Amino acid sequence: MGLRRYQVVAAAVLALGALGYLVFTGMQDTMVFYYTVSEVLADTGDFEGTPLRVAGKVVPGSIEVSTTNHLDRSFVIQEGGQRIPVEYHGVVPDTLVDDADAVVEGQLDAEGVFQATFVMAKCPSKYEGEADYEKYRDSGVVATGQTSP
Amino acid sequence: MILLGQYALIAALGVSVYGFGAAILGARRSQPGLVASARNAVYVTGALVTTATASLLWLLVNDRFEVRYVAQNSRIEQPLPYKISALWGGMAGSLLLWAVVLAGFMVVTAWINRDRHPELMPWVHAVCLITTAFFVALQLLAANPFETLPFTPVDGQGMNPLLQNPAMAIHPPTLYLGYVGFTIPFAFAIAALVTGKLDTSWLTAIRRWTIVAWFFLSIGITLGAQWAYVELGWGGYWGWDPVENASFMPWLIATAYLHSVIIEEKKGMLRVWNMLMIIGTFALCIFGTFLTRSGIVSSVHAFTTSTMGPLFAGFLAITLATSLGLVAWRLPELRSKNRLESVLSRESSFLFNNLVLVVACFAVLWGTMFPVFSEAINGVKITVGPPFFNRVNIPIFLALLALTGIGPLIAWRRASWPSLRRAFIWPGVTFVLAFAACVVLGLGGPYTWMSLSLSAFVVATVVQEFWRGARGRAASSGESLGLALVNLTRRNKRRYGGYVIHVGIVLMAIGITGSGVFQREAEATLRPGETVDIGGYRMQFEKLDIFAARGVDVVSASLVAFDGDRARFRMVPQRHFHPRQDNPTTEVAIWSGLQHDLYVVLAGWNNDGSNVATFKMYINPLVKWIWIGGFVLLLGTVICLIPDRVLADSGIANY
Repeated sequence: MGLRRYQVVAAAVLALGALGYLVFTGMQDTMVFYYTVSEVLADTGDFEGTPLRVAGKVVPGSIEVSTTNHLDRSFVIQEGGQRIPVEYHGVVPDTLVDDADAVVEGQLDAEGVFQATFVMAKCPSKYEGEADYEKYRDSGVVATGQTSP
Repeated sequence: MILLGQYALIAALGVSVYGFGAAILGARRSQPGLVASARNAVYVTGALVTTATASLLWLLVNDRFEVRYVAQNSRIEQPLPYKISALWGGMAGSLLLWAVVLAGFMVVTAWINRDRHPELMPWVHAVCLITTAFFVALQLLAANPFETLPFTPVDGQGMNPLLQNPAMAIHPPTLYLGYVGFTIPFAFAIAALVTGKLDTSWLTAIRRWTIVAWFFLSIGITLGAQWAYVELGWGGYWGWDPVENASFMPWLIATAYLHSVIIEEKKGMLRVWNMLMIIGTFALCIFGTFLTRSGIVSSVHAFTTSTMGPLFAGFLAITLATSLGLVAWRLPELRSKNRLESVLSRESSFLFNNLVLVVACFAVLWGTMFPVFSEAINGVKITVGPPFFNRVNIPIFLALLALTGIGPLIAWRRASWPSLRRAFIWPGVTFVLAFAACVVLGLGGPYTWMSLSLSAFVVATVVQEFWRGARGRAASSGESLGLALVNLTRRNKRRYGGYVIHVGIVLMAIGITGSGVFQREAEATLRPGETVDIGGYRMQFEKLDIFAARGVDVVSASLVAFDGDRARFRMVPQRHFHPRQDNPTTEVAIWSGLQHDLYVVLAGWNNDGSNVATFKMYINPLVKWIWIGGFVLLLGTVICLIPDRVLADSGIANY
C-alpha cells in the first residue's frame, strides 16, 4: 500500500490552507495603508487614528531635537506641495537628514500632527544622475538637526 | 585604464553573445569545433570581465575622480580597504561584481568539466554566457562604471559612511557568491532539460556548487544581519526589510532543494519538484538583485531608483518562461519511477520540510510584494511590516525546527514502530525535559517554550546520530570511539556535515529566540556622573569628547558599566560626521558576551557645553549565538566539501 496521489494532494492542500490561514489572520491587524503626504491631506478626516505609512521628503531646516531628551524629535515632511508635521520618540536612522526621502509609520493626532512609531529614511541621492559635482568640491554641509561640533 | 575597462566590457558583451550563439549552434548541429569555440568564448569573456574589474579597482585605488563612479564612491582619505570595497559600494560596481563572479564561476565550471558531460556542457556555456551578457549589457545601458565626468574633481564624495564597515565590506561579495553560484546549477538544469539527459549525472555535477552557493548565501545573509546590528543602531539585526527578504527567499528554496535532491539521488523521485526548486532559486536570486535596484518597494537600504527595472523584469520573464516551458516539455520523462511508500518515512519527512520551506518563501514573498499587489488590484498601497512576518513565520519555522529533528530519525521507505521508538526515546525525553524546564522557569510564552525545547530536541538527535554511528563503527571495526567518529564522518561527509549545519541553525534559532523575546531597553538623558540601570548593570556617564580623526569629526561619549560596585568595562558610543556626506553615522558601542550583548547608542547631546547626552541602551540576550551559529555552519559546510579522493566510495551512495 503506497502513498496515494490524493494523500499527497491532501498534504499540499493542508499546507496551503495553513499558509492561507496564517497569512489571512496575520494581515488582519498588521495592515498599514501607505500614502504620500498630499494623499493624506486630501482626506484628513478619515485618517485620524488609523495606522498609516506616509512618504515624503524632509523639509530642510525642519528637524528639531529636544534639548531635554534627545530622543524626542520633530520634523516636517512634504510632498506634492503639502506638508505634515511629524513627532517621534526614539532613535532615528542616520539617513534622516534635510531632503531625505522619509517614510513614517504611525497615526495622525487630532491636531494634525503625525505621531510616528517608526521612521525610515533614504539619503537624498542628489549626486546620482546629476552633474552637480561642483558642490562637493567644497566641504559638504551636514544638516541633521544635530550639528557637527 | 578608463578606456581599457570600457572596451573590455564592450568586448565581453560581444564575445559572450557570440559564444551563446556558437554553443547552441554547435550543440544542435553536433559541431565540436563550434562547441570548442564557445568554450573559448567562456574563457575570453572571463578574462575580459576580469580586466574591466581590475581597471575599475585601479581607478578607485588611484583616486581617478574623473570617473563618475570613483568620484561618487571614494575620496582621497578613504582607507584603502574601503577604496577596494567601493568596487561594490555603488550600483554600477555591484553589477560589475555580479558579472565578474559569474564569469569566474563559469570559467571554473568550463575548466573542471572540459572532458566531462560533453552533451550538457554546450548548454551550460550558453546559459552562463547569456546571463553574463545580460549583466554586462545592464552596465553598458543603465549603469556604466566607466562613465567620465566633464571635469576632474579635486576629491571624491566618498562612499556612504554606513557602508564603511568590515561586515558591509564583505557582505555583498559573499552574498553574490551565493546568488551567482546558483547560476551554475540552473545552467546544468537547463542543459539536462534541453538534451533530455535527465539521469542523475547532472545532479552529481552540481552537488558541490549547490552546497557552496548555499553556504555563501547563508553567510552573506548572516553578515548582512550583523552589519545592520552594528551599524544601523536600532538594536536589532533583522527588520524584514524587502532587501533582507530578497536574500532570504532564495535561501529558503535552495534549502528545500538541498534536501529534496537527496531523495532524487536515492530514489529517483521528486524530479519535477527539484527542477522547479533550482529554477525557483535562480529566479529568486535574479529577483533579489532586481528588488534592491528597482525601487519598486520602499526599503531602508535599496539602491537609487533606476531605469533597469524593465530590463530585469524582461530577463526574469524570459528566464521563467523558457525554463518552465522546458519542464513542461520534458514532463513525461521526468515522471518518477517510485512512489512514496509511507507517511512514516525519511522521504515524506523531507517532502514535508520542502513544503514548509516553500510555504515560508511564499509568505515572505507575499508580505514583501503586497504593496505592489494591493496597488495593482485596488489602487491603494497597503504594507505589512515586521509584525506580519513574525506572526506568520514563527509557527512555520517552529514546524521546520521540529522537522529538522524528526527527519534524520526516520528510516527510509517505511519506518517501523519499534525503530521509531528506539530513535525517538532520548531526543523525545530531552524535548519533554527542556519544555518542562522552560515552563517552570517561566521563559516567555508558548512559542519560546517550543523554540527552545525543539532546539534541544534537534541537538539531541544530532548527538544521538553521532554517538550511535560512532559506537556501532567502533564495535565492528575495533577502532577507538574518537577515531570511529572521525571515520564515520569521513565516510558520510554530506550526512554528518549536514548534522553539523543543523546544529549551526539551531544555535541561530536560540540566538534569535533569546534576542527576540527577552530584549530589554532603557533610555536616559544624563549629565556627566549620573547613572542609569539596565538589566543588572549600572551605567555611569563619564564624559563627552569632541575631536577630529582622519578628516572625520567625532563626538564620543564614555560610559562605565558597573556590576554591583565593581567597574566591569567601559563603553564608548560615538557619532561620526564625515566630510562631503549628508548624514552622520551612529557608531554603536557593543559589549558582547555569551549570555547577552550590551548595546549603547549615543542618541544626542547638547552643544551648549553642558555635556548633557541622551542614550538608548539595549540588553540583547544570546545574540552572539547567531554569529557562532554562522561559524558552525562554516564548519559543517567544510565537512560536506572535503574531497573524497581518499575514499573509494561510489559517489552517489555516499551520504
